[in-house]
Amino acid sequence: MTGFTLPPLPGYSKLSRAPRDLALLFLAVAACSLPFLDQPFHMDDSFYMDMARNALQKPLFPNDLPYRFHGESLPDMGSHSHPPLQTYFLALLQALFGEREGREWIYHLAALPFPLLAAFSFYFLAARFLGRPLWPALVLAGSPVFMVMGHNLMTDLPNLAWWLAAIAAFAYASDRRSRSLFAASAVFQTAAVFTSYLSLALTPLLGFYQIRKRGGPAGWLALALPPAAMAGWLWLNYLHYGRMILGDTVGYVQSRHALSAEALWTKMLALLQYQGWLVVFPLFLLAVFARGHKGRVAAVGALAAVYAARLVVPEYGFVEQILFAIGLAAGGAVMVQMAVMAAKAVLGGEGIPEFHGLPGQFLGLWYFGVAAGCLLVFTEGSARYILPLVPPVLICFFRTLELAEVGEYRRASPPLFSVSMVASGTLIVTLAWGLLLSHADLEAARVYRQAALEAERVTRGFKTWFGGEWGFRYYARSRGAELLPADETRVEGGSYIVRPRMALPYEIPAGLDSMTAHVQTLALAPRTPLRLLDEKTPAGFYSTGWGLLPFTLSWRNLEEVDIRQVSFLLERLPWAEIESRDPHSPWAAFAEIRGRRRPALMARAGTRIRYEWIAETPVVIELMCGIAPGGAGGADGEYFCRAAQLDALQRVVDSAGCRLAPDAAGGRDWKPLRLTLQPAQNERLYLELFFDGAGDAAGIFAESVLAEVK
Amino acid sequence: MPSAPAWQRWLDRRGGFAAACLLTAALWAGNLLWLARDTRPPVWDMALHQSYALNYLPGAAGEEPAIRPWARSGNYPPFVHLVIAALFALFHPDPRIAALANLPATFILLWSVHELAEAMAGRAAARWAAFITAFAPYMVWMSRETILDYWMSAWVAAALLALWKSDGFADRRAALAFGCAAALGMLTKWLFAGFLLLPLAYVALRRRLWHHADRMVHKADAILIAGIGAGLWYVPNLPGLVRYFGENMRIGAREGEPPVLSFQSLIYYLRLLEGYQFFGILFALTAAACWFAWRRQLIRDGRFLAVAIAGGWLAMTLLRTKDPRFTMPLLGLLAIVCGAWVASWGYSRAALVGQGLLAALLLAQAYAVSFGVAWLPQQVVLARGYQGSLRWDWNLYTQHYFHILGKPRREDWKLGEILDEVRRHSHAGALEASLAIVPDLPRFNAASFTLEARLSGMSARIDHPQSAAAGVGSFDGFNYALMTEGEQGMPWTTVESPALNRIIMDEHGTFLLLGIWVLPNGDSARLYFVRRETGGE
Repeated sequence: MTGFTLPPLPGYSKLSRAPRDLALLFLAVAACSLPFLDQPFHMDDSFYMDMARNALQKPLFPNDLPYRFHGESLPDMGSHSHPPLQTYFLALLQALFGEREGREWIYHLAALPFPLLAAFSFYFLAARFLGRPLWPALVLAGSPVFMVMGHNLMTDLPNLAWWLAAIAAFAYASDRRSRSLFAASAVFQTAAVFTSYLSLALTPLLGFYQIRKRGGPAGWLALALPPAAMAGWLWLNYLHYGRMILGDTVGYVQSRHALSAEALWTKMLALLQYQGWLVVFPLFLLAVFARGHKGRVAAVGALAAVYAARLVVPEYGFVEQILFAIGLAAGGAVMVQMAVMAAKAVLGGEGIPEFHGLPGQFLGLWYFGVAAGCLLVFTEGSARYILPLVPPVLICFFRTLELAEVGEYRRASPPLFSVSMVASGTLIVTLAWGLLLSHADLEAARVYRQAALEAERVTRGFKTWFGGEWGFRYYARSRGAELLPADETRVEGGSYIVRPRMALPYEIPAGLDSMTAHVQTLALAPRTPLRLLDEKTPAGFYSTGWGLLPFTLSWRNLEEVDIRQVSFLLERLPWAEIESRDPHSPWAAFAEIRGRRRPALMARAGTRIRYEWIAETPVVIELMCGIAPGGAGGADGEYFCRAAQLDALQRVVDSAGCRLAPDAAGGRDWKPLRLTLQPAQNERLYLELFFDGAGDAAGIFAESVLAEVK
Repeated sequence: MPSAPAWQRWLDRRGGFAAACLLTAALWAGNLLWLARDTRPPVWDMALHQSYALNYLPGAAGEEPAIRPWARSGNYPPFVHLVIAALFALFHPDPRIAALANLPATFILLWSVHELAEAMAGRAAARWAAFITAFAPYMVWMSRETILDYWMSAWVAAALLALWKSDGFADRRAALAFGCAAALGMLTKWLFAGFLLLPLAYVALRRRLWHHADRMVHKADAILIAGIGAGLWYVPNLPGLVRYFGENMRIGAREGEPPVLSFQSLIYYLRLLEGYQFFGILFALTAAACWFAWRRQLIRDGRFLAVAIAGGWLAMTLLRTKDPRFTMPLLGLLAIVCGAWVASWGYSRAALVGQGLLAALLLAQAYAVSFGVAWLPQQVVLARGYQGSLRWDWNLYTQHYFHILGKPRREDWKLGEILDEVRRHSHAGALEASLAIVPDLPRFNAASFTLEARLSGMSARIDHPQSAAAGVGSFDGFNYALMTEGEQGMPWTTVESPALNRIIMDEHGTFLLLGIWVLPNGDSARLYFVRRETGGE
């Protein structure tokens, strides 16, 4: 590796050390990936896995699948924001290796070629602008946004890999007039376009290069192929779905008011934060891009950022405002530097000599094109959207360092923070920073696998519904739970509903919700205070919906999973046999127990409620009995509650009861009942509740929970 | 050649210093005389700022201990409050002592104006500029009031002087001085920025600073000093200030100020300059001076001065809330133009007569607004002006400022006696001394009472209810209510006062009369105990 302490040697060829550099790059990418191979499926991974499963059934139209997301049901996912190349890739892995918990490492290992392709391609591309292309390629591989996104199965990193490969191949093809490289570029462009629609932006970007280089027909052909292929694919989908699938995609973006002033402002701030914190460690961005005027630019920028933080995010805590200010200063320095570089490339003037004309214009178009896309196309900000603008930033960063190095050799004594120190520091600190954030993401992913496991322990033996997304969706489903249906009547009494608090919980319909009783809340905390996504702090790595910072610090729980059970007594009431000497049938109500409202069943004295019992395993029912306030018939009234299991001949198999004396001391206290219910194997069994007494009070059966016999 | 005498050499070197000292002494001699003859409590904002100053005195009477350091001056930057607090600590807390806080500001203002004028138009012009600044009627009024704008005027002049002396940030020492003045100016009042933005931009553009690395470094250093210095107060208070700005805009509308882009808004400060700040003759002289100074190129880098004046005027015009004190920093700059023209008259007999008449006029105006001239009409209106909540006329002169400022008076507004009664009654009933003051008269309002209470060591919560919508409930949280029968004060804050008075008078069972005091304006103040079912007598 040619260091930043040596001037370029005479006759030095940028690519003369390519084999050794690429080997180093391979080792670096692999070493950064290996610790994260067993990372649980996370965020939108579960969506792509679902579609991949469907691709094995419907290979031509993998997204043609009725889908329920965040509580909304869609007839198909044809208008999903991404075309299906990544889905096919995952489908291939599913077909080859199967799919079950514990095999995540196979998928991540199989996806390793994407970061490798990105790093290698960037190496070759950087060699066209820089004397030492290995440095930016290594920093790319170690940059936080690259590393974090490299450990999941979403489309962002594959898309970047295709981008860089397509651009590098096209640039070399233009120079060498190589048809095979043009063909390779066309293939990479097509792959990029079929990974993300927004990769169609490659066509005008490379078209600009082609025009300025006065390229021949091979180049134009390479540029025409990907849009043509995409047009063909869209036409095919039009025939299949009977609609222009991108129409709904655009409609979704419009429905989120992506171009409102507030949304644009939020995305702009997030863009600055992401590029300030997630490309290169911000200290080095400021040291390189804002070192002008003896460091005063950085100082004034930092001061302005502190003021801006207080103005823009006054609701953030002290540490979060400091993080915001740092990100804003560093991200602002990047944007200003890129703007200055692009302006000088267009208008001329002092600047980076090698970037005058086409190189600077190309990098400027690339950077600002992607930035404009982040602002105008996406519905909100997300760190992964900035991945395509990382390469031009790194090229500009290292070219600035190379020029500073030349100036340094002319000085009598090297400065304290020499270029070599800054370059080495950039690489090491950024790599460490990337690993830390990747570990935080790994921990967050683990939380959802753990959540599904612990929820299963509570709900074992019962039908379980879940309402949440991300990794929780994948692992809850893999443990036998089913997605909470739109039709609430499918949810029967005794079944569980499990919902995460943060991972896009589904709303339980009000009618069903009124019949559920809280059973347990699982609190899950990752083993790191770093948060990329958090409900309680403004960590918005994955979406600005959570906050404007790419990360935050918190020692609180990351996620809480709410486990509720649909009351068997209430949900099955319409089908129960009722005998009562009172004209009023039993009715559903709420009772306050230990300060919380619980769904309850109320009945007048002399009422029997008989439920048919069809469970196939032994089950324990626990409930609380009490007397409704103000309803006692007299001072000497005494009441009796009983829960019993009856056989087909109405004989008591087992029972539990309690006496309630509302006029006596403590007589209005809640009395617990616990009864083990045998499975109904080949005979008809019943669960009977009985309430009777001397007065006309109403009895309450509340907080009933069915649980597996331990 | 024989060298000049020592005193002349000293004057050559220290002329500005001497002139500033002399004029400051003259002005403050008059002010001390005025303060000795006036016994009234401070008016609204002045009382408020003095109360805030008490927050900085450890162990001060009625101290509010829970206030965090950066919140002790409310929504205002703390510099002036700290100066007042220092004087309170040095002497003793008293409104007349508080007025002395302006003394150093007078010197800084006059010295800065003198230095700037000398650099731009020569020594004679500088003397005239400082003289006009010192004795401009509005400046005389404000010099003894504890408002923030007087100090801000001083810092604006000092900052512009440093900026001009920095020669486009080429001079490092002047650039750093500019940073310090800017920091102190911002710590005095946020409007300070409005007076410096355009001059800064002008210097940057004219000198093409981006082509000069050293100047950029000096400018950055100045910005850092100003930003960090001011940031000590602004950074923790910014979110609150944003809310306060919004409220202030609404208050401007309530006060009936003209919409920002209207014709009345554009001429607003021109009329105030004529009618309340300079008066007719000095205004006409200044208008003529602007013409001649421009035609005869009497001022070096006149554009810088023009940009400073126009920039300040534009910034204040764009604010919805308007007040003559906001443009006070422009008076010193206009005086430079005037001084340059007056100095250009030369030393002919006619010129000397003219200059003598001008000096006499300035002194006469200063005397009239300070001590009054009984045989002259109180006010001569040339033309009726804009009618908002107040009517701002075009005046030849006026001896008073809406009867709030003017000649000293020995008046007792009975604040102490009323508070004594509240203290006595609340002690007897073990009640909180919480007082609702219905009127909002200049010297008989919640801020004046709060200051009086704190100065007398009384712990009291005093406020001005502005809504009668809740009926008797409008006085919830108060154990005492104070009303006057006649004039209620500023119309925009007392719209509901008649309704509140009606509630007090009608609800005999709730409001028990504790005492009646006759006020200097002939009105009677009535103090009531607010009886509640659960407490009290």
